[in-house]
Amino acid sequence: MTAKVRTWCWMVVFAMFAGLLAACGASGGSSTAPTSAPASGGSPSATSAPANGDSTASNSCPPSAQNQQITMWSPLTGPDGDEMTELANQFSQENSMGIRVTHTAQPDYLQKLNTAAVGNSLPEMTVIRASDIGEMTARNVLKPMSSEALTILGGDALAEQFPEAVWAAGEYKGQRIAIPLDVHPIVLYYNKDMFAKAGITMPTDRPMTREEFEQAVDALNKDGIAGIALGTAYQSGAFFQLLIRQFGGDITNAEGTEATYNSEQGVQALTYIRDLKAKTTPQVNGAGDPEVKLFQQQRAAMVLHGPWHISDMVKLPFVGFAQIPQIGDKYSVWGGSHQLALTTEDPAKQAAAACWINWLSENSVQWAKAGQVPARASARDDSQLATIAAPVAAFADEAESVVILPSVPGLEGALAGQGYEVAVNAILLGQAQDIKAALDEAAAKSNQIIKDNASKYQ
Amino acid sequence: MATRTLKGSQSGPAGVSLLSRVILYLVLIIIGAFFLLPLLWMLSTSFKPFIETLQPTWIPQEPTFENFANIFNDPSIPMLRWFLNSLAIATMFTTLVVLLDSLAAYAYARMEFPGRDALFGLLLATLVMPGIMFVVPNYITIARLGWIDSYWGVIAPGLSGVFGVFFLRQFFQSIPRELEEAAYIDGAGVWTTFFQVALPLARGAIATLAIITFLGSWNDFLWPLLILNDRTMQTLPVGLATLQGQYTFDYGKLMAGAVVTATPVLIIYVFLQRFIIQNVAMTGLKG
Amino acid sequence: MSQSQSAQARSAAVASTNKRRRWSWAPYLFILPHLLFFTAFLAYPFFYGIYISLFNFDFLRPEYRPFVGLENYANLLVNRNSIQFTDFWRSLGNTGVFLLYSVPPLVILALLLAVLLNGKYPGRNLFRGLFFAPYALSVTVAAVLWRWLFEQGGLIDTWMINLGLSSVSWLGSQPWAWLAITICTIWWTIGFNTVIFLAALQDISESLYEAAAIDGANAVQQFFSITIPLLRPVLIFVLTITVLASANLFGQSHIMTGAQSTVIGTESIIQRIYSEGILQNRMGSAAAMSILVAAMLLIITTINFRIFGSTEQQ
Repeated sequence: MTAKVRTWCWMVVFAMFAGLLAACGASGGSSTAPTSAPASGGSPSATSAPANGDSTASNSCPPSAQNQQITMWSPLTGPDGDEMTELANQFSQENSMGIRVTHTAQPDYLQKLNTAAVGNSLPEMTVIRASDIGEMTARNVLKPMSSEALTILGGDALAEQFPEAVWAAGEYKGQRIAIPLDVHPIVLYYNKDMFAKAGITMPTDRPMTREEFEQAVDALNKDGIAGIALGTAYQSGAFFQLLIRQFGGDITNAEGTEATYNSEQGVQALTYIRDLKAKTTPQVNGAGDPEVKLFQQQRAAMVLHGPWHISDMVKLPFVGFAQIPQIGDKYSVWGGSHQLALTTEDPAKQAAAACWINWLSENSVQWAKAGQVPARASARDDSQLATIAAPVAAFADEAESVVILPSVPGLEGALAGQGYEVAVNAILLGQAQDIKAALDEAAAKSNQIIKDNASKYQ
Repeated sequence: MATRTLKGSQSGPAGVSLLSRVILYLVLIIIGAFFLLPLLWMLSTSFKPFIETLQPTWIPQEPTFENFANIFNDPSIPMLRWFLNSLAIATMFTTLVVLLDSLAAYAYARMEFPGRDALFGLLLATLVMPGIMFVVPNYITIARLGWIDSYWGVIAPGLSGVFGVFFLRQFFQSIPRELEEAAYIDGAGVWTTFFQVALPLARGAIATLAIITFLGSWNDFLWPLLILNDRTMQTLPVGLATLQGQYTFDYGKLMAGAVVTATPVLIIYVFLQRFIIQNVAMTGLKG
Repeated sequence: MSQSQSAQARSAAVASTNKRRRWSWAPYLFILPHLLFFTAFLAYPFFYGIYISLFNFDFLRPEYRPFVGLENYANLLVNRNSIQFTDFWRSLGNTGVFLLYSVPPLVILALLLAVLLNGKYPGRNLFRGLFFAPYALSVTVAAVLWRWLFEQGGLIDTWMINLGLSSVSWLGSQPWAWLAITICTIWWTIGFNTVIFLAALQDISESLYEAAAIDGANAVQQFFSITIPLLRPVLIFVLTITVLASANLFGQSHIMTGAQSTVIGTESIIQRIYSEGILQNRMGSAAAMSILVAAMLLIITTINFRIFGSTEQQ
């Protein structure tokens, strides 16, 4: 055999081998059952069993839901997703109707949902971010909940369990699309050691007042340490949004048809942020949350950021958790919300999914372990909350002050990403100086997009 | 191959002066440092516990295997499956690309048929189109074929790529025609000429294309993400991405995942390198 | 027979055998497998893209797809006050700047590196592996790595402070942001070009260099009189694919500068198309943008070929 022929032989063997693997792999989608319920695995969950036991009996889970297989997608990658997977496994094992729930976390979940919808391969339900609900419903990805499903979930009484804004976010054009799972408000992380050394106490049952906050910043802002770490990108946008509300304004009107952040309160808010940043961390900016890193490196005493950092923050002994300060006259908090929505119209599957959602909602105190504040009031009032997730208990009260945008399709993108975030970044990076002009320009853009969307999605 | 340096003193026709050798290595080491240091940083971070990933230290003060252990030991993380999926897909893909593209490239380079240049021009023209536009239409096609959640769904669209054809056509054109003509005279048909004359001569180019293609498939993220739903069908990059939080990066775990993903490919590259550098002068057609 | 006579005889024989082969099936069979996939997965979406650019298009809403004719194009080319106009041209300009920053080093340095690595000396394989290794990483890892090195509190920032220099906002201001992104791109992708040049360099016979050396040419003269002319087709090839790759910049600027890329001028055209089509759900408009970009790139590559000659071998 010549070397040449030998090489070709190897390639053929290789190809056959690969082909065999492909044949084995081509039968995808076979096992929807979870491989192993990691009850004994890392996280300390197994002991705290839900108080209600098997609630599938209590809220009349109908016989049509028997033995249904539910696949739930979500954007909850990483450790958060593991918590959800555990809960799904627990439900699958405990419920008396033989319903099996599989949770699959998806990176880039919107693109996944989009393409799956186009190709008719959607799962039965998904965890959805509140800001995506309007658009995904208008585009036929999320399906309204049937009246049977709503009955299983508790009917009209359910609304009282949730803060009004959070409950309203799950509705589109008068139809109930989603049930709230959690609220994730922006949180104040602070360095306990630095605070102690400077003799500052963080109030535990209320937010800091403006004086307390500014005094703390000034007291700590020296010797190479920043009083607070302020960046750009997500953080400055969220800060702007909540501050404008604290000063009495808002970024949009009640119906979500107009951008209102170029008001006097908007200028006030952005001026405040700009001045604060110039005093503390003028150079910190960019993607990847460098302001959080600065805080974790103990080069800043405080940082306002999303609660998704909690699982990292708990590894650092010096980190304390608190409600964000009240700088304006009103108290308002930026927050998002994860909600549970259905992507199937099959009545039996909807019923089964509703049984699962019901169980999950009643047991959502467990979900706090993922660093999210359970949306359901009964979960937040649950005495177990402090033991399960002490950090979350520290700021759970913020949930009542979270404002969520009305579920108008594409509203958040129009207002924030294409709108005020550009202006805020421009001011904070020194690319623009006139705050009013920058906000006006951004608002004009936002309104243009809002109008375009409105004509698209009547 | 003669050793050549761009700087350095005059040397005789054979042999190289010590000075030019030293300068060569100096230059290589300086450039090498630029390439190496971030890789070392990546490696060192993969062995750091979380608290240390925040500090700009080179050598972890408390080196730990936990980043790797978390990936490999967790029963809910099907690492082996992901690895095998990636391997199968990349291997199949590379083999098919080499096969399809070398055949096509040879035809565009050496065969006469009506419309050849116009057709090749059309192929080239598609290189300028941004890839985003292809995602949804191709997804619809794959869905209609029933190939969602299968290896074929991942591989098929990529086989349309024109780069390989463009690249190999280049090399086929550089083969002196005398060789093929000699084969024809000896009575060889077009197929024999292709397999026994042209392909072996383009061996270096084919090995290069194979490496590049394998890498592209191995590191591909978006398309496998969209096509593969089942967790046990996912490829390594997609699977590892599910381990990162929505908005946060666990740098230790990220770098550990990157090390795990890059190592097999680098091994393959080192192995395939020998084909690229093999001296093609044996056929005696040079000079 | 004399040399020229045997050559004539050979070409006569070839000519007659070629005539016999004129209408064989072989060429079509050779191109068919690839062409099948090409038609299904490249040509069809390409024309489909042209089609949807004439509509206000959403894949998920068959109930609402008004025909808008050339309005999407008008918004990009003529209507200065449209939603898309300013952002489209700004990101095109940004991408153009990136092309100027990145293409020359990616081609020239890659060639020099290939020449450097082409010798026979101990450790050569090690260095070849090293220069190629970054390309084995995915764009996400490479970009996250360099973002981390360049950001405030990162390694480079710490070095500069230790050296007594003032802190530079690498990812928040120009020209530093483009510099950072270009360095990341060069580190990540130069191995690709180098490997291609290396493969091409193998085909140049030693004897050519030896002959030149005997004639008294030094290394630099050999480089310009032998290497460059013989590599010309490959040079143009690498130039073309590098221009196309840089024009398709997405990952590095998205990850390293993220949301502030619009403000500091690092938003690439692909980022803009992504935002338009996927984030803001205006697929028809995004398709129009893609077509325009494709047309521009086509013009650029054609000019490329005209100026530098084609990649054809003579």
